[in-house]
Amino acid sequence: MSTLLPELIIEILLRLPIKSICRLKCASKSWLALITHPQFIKMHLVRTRKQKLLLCNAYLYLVDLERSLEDKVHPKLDQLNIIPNTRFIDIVYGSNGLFCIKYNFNDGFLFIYNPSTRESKKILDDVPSVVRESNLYCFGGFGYVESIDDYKFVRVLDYENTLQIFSLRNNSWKIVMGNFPVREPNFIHGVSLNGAVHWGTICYPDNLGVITVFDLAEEKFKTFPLPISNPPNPPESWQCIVHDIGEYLCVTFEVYGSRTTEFVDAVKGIWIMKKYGVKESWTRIVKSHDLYNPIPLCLWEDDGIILYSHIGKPKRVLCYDEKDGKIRKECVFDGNYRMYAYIESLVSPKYNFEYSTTQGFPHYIAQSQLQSTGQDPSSSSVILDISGLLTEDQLV
Amino acid sequence: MSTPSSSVFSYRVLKLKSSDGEIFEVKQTVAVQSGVLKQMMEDGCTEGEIPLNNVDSPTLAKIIEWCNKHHDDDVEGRVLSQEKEKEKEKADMKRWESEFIDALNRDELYFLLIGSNYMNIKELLDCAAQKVAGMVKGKTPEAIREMFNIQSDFTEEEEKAIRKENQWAFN
Repeated sequence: MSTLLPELIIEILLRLPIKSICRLKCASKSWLALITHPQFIKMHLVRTRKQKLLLCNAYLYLVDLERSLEDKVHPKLDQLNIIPNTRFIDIVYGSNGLFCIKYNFNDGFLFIYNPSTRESKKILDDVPSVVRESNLYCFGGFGYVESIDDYKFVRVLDYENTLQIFSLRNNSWKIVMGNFPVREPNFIHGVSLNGAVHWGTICYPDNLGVITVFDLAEEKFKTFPLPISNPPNPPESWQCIVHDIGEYLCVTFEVYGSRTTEFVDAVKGIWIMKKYGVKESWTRIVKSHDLYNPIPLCLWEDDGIILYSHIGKPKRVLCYDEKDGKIRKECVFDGNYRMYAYIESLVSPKYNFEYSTTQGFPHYIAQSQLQSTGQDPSSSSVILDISGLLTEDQLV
Repeated sequence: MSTPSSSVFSYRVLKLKSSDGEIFEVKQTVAVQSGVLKQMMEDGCTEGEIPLNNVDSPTLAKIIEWCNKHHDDDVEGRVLSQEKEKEKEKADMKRWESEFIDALNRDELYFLLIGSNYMNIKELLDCAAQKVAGMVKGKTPEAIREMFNIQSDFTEEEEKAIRKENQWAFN
């Protein structure tokens, strides 16, 4: 075969597994330039949408979800060595296949990592002493903001009423004063969706639940209502946990200590917010018998939902059929892991934002490819800004 | 006597001229699968020979064979009462497509890829690109260079560095 037009090379590359694409970076300078071009990366992202699993215990592992569900045997774990022989301590998933990883609260670094390409970027991170002394009170979120084409990591420092925000585009940290709204967070990292991070929070002393939302573009807080913000006979200690599947926010509820049947009946199951930010769109999708909910990980073909049944033994990953409420497929895991579903992508943590226009890229290809994907329907929906938790002048 | 309304009948067949000068007659209803020809029909400029400068006669013959097959099996206008029957037709078509593509040698496949892209025949382009991707999938950069006639323009150090960065993809 002789030389092909770039548009045809793109057609071929977009049909290859990511491993082959990475290998082809070594073919020539022009292939490398094409494969690492932000426009190509974007095309690949909207075309493939392949779900993978990242597992964590003391180490990190990749699992091919599709193959694991097919094979029915114990899934093959592919251990990742970002820094060989180092145990990680904290991880948060962002968007478009990028994670934020912390190995050590004292070493002064944070890593942005793409498990699909094994690429990482080391970032200077001076963790405040309050976190170093007691990492329990540190939580955050990491996500992509399309409107400003940036990835931001936010860390909430509970006791200092301060936020630390890292922008990947600017490659710099900043501190924003302004307290996490007067609520009790559950100290679980937030879930990123539509350019915002979402945490489950319970207000004290009135014991009401709400989703606290941090808009990464505006850098402001707002709230979304829970399906049930004021459940009957609430126990003293309960939590709502936010998840995301596909383009939807989900919540599950957890209780510690004694609970009433009335309360359990009201909140049990997995709730999905079908229209982003709209209270009326909350729908209960998986009606568990008790509060021991499986964790929703991601959507699967033909109305399937991937669930992680993490309580009891064995730990299982299930493909649940939303239409008939049956389990289609499952695979069993030895050991206890935290699991993250992520989108396989070529997005580089060393993303060159200056270059993110169509510069150096056949413009007409980009146009025709991106047009066909259409807009995310949820992006145009109404966002409730109920309480105005932070006013402009509270932010310094 | 020729009137504008009669053109609907007189141009039901398009005359396609390949790069090496051969004329192929194709029914409009078949040619419509090509985005480029469809546009020309809508614009009313399909009178006479339509030159296809990027497509030689063996390739054009293949493309027309594909389009005829996909036209013949068009389920529109026929009543398929059974879901099963539809499924079977779909499976048969898939089999035909893979046999059609698999029978091509590398050069034929390459020209078909270019031709289907040039004439904007989406399904054929998809099928051909998928086939080439399958051929590329397990290959080393060296094999790909040979396949696509690429000269490596990396220096020795550059190539070493880029390979090291992507070492995992070679395991």
